[in-house]
Amino acid sequence: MGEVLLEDLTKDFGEVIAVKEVNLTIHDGEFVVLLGPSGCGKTTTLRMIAGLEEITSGRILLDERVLNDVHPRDRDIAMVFQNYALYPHMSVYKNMAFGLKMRKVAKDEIDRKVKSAAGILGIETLLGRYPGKLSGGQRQRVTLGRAIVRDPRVFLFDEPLSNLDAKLRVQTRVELLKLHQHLAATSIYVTHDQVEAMTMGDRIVVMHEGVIQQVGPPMEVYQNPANQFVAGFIGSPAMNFLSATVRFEAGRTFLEGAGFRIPLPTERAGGLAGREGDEIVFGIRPEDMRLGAEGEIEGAVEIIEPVGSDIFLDLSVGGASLTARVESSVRMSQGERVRLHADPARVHAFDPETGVTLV
Amino acid sequence: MGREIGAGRTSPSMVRRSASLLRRWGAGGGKSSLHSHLRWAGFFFVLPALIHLVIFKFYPMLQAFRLSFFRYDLMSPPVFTGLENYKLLWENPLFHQSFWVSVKYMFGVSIPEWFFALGLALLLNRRMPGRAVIRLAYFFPIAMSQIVVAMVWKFMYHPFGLVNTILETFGIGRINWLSMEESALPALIAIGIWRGIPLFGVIYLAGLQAIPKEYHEAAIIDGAGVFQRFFYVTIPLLLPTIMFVMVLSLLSAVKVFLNPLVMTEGGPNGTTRVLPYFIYETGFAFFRMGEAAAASMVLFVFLFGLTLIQLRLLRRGGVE
Ligand SMILES: Nc1ncnc2c1ncn2[C@@H]1O[C@H](COP(=O)(O)OP(=O)(O)O)[C@@H](O)[C@H]1O
Ligand SMILES: [Mg+2]
Repeated sequence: MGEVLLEDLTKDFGEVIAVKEVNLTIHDGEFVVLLGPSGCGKTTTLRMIAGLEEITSGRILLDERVLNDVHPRDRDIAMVFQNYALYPHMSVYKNMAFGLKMRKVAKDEIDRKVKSAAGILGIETLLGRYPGKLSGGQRQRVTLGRAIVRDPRVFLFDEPLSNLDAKLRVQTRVELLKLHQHLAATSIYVTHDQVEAMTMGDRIVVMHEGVIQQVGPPMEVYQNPANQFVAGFIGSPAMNFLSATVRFEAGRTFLEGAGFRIPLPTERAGGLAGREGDEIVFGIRPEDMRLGAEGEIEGAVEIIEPVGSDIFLDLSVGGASLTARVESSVRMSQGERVRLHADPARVHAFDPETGVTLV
Repeated sequence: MGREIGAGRTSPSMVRRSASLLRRWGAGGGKSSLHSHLRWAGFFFVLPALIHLVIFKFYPMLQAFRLSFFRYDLMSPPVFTGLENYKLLWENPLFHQSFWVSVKYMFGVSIPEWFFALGLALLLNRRMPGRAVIRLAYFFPIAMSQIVVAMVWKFMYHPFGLVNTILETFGIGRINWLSMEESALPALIAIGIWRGIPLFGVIYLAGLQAIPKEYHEAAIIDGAGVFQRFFYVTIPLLLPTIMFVMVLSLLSAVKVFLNPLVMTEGGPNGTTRVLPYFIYETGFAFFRMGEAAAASMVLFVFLFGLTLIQLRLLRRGGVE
């Protein structure tokens, strides 16, 4: 088992409130990703769960046992550090065995567990080496090995891939997922990389300034962001935001601004009721528009970025800039005026003050 | 006066040879002139230090080495006597006594320093109120002039000095620390330790703070307690610093001279006559410069051997 419960979890470092009233349930065997920009409190949350950081207020429970005053060693939680933190003076074998040795596990059992973990990770041949003599990817595996030999209920990962180069990162991501499927242990994974979060998480927890913004499966968070921050943070290139005014005409709702006038399907316009004439933020993802002579958005092409499979167009729409993704077969020239059609099911609107999603 | 050695010996051909060597070394194949420029720049940067080293260290050492084969009393010209000085030393019971006094002093000061300094550093490395003040206070003995330290301690060890006054409150009778054979060397050793702890403590502290805290955190999660972390994480990662402190403390202890000079003049009965003091006495009190030079050669060989051993340990300790 390994169900983690965070209740009103708060941490302040004097002036800075690093984590604020976080409430979260992480189910047994789930892979949850804490996602957010640097400094949003991800590491602090993880360190509180590990027991490395004192809790200011709130509770942490693991399988209904309150962990607040439980020593890190007795929490049955393993942590993978961002900088690996492999003991440089110990061989790979000893690094992996250390946690078991400290727990007074019998030598032959340690040996069995270390070798089995090394087998899973494909690092049997590295056991005699020292961390200083390993590549980044190898160190990463040893760090994982050190965590899995202990067979903990919960794994904590703090940006474990951030020190790897791009190619290795993608590869390791896949391997981590396979490992997770194999071990089926609860995993809490911290990253600031939204691609990592989208591809790895059963659920994503988006954090900003110590506060949880949204919790949900990747596609849900992507398609139905709870607020403008989440909408802008997830997705690459990021969602376009243009300021617009709400108009009701002949029973229909429009988002109107310089260079565009978007009709909203009635069933999606409920959040705008009574907001006639209000300023809102209109949001649309680059991939949710397509070229068409009937398009409701009009702009001038400023930059054309072919990325192989697609082309990204940077347009000037009524003085604001907007990025659209179009098919690579499209021929386009700079300065050309084009019209884009926004997918009505994918149009978003946010409150300009609070950022709360209205549509 | 005896003729000058060394200075007059550099022949023009030697200069030419070394100049061409330097040129070849500096050119580095000629394909990368920036590289060779940089190498020259580096050479010029160390040149002042090098010149200083040659003039004030190597040259006097060579002179001392030469002098150790001469009989010389500063008045009449030196007379070459071969190994006579070394033979005299070997037959001089005072030299033997002095050698062992030095060994006792060296280890008597160093070994406690290693442990106390580490203990101090471990204390100061913890977050506690007033840490900055305590650090400053402990650094104080190093900042004080050596001669002042020696004078102050001489007064403190006086039969009516502070040390005895304090001991008296515990019911211990007054002791003339510096005049008794049993207590004079320990009294000097105590000063040595007192003076060394802060310096080595600060070095240890720097070493401790260079250990990334992730190692300790990983070990905490791995289930290691305070003592296990000390022995499995702190000590191994501090090993290069420990080795460095060991070398430095031994070398600086064996060079002690001012304290015996000011406080005991090597007495009572030679029990505080450390080798440097023996050398000084032989040379400048008894005007037996050759013998003094020979004794300093013995000291040099001893220190050199010690340094070599420790450098090897240091290299082994530094392996990652
Ligand atoms: N030991 C600390 N002392 C003071 N402030 C801290 C400390 N650790 C983190 N913080 C602050 O808490 C906030 C959250 O930090 P952190 O959890 O490391 O963010 P993240 O991992 O999301 O980048 C930041 O503003 C950071 O400056
Ligand atoms: Mg972090």
